[in-house]
Amino acid sequence: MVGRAGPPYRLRQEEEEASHDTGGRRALESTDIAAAVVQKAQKDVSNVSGNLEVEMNWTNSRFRVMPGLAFVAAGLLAWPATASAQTVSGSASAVRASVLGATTVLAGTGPLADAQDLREASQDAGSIFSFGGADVLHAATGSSITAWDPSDYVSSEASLADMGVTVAGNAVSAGFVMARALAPVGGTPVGASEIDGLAVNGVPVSVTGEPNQTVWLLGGRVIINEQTPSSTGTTVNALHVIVDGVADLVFASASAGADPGSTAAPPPPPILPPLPRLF
Amino acid sequence: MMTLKRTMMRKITLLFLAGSLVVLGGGHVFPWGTEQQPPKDFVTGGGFIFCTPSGAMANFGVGGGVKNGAFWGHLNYLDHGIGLHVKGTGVTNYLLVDDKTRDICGTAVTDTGLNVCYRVRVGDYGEPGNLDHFGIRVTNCSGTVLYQTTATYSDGTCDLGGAGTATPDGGNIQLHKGNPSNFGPASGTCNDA
Repeated sequence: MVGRAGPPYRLRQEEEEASHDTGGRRALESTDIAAAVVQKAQKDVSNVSGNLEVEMNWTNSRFRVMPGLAFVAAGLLAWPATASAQTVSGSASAVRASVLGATTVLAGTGPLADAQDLREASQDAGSIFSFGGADVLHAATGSSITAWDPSDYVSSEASLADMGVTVAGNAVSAGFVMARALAPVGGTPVGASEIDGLAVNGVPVSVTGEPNQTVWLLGGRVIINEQTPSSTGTTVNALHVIVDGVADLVFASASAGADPGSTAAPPPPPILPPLPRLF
Repeated sequence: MMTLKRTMMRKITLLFLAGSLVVLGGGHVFPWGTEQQPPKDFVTGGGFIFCTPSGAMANFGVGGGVKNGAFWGHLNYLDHGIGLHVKGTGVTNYLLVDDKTRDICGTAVTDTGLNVCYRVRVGDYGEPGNLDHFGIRVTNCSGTVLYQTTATYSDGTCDLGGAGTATPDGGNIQLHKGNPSNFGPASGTCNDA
């Protein structure tokens, strides 16, 4: 403790001195008052010094706690975040054509926004630049997810009829083209194509049903039932016509994905030192 | 001891009664008929048929369902025999026929510019797609039938695809489980009769 007032003997001495005065009673009263004042002063000083002490203790505590809290925060930030979000993906288009950097989509659904989305697109007929065209263009994609359990899924499909294009002297035609993709929650995505009446440069092509069946063109190729799986989904292009440096045409494309997120329990948090005592 | 037995017997009786209601008359417990409301799912499909009036091939792309309180879907139908092209402009109803079959009603315009109404009936009978069913009726929206596919089945539909095609699947009809957004209006209209 600091700043404590003088000892009480001083008051007694003053009292004795005062008792020797002629106006004794009054002097005594003065002494009492003085003593009370001194006592009050002592009390105030004591309180002030006490507050000072508490204030200093608080400051010291804060200085001790702040590094500790910073250490805890750093530890939590370093804790690996393994729980990932549930996401869906899905889209479909009847035709997607890219020519010299320009891309056009006919009957395209665009991507699914979330697990409660459902999208469709339709067009009675469409031209594909100056290469040709197709009829009865149809595309749909939708989420069938309610509880993110194995019975839930995302699916997409696209189809068209009477397609015919001629690109750099290569003629490709088909009576009916369809792609379908389905991604079950937690299951293996599947894709399928159906192509009826396919002919390349006037020659009928037998569709095997195998993924990525390739027919070579002059300066390009036709990929039939092109399948591109990913970790959570798949994309199926029923017919992909590529003429190198000229055009990239996809007829009936469907993609679907359902990522349930991480279901594994996150690891325990790192062991941190005990927090410093606050008081 | 006797009281405990009586309580147990009462509980068992109540459970039996409740179970009987659910099994035998569950549908009558709830007074509103859910069968009058559009089902909370959706159907999509594309393909071709030969059950046209002329027997020529017809292609279709179709979608139907309910989403966020409204009807959802589209129709594209082309009969190659007579060159009739029907393009849907809106879905006005979506109905459950049975657990595999749905009706989609809507408005459409033909390639000649005629405004019409349609009812499409589709059935998802699994894989491959030629097990699935399709049928369409086009009217003038006042009861006059302008066009209708021929029926193989009593419900007015026929199989997808057909003999003689390189891939006889004929496309596919897919009835999808709904998600929470698949709720529609209480009822719709089918101006096809």
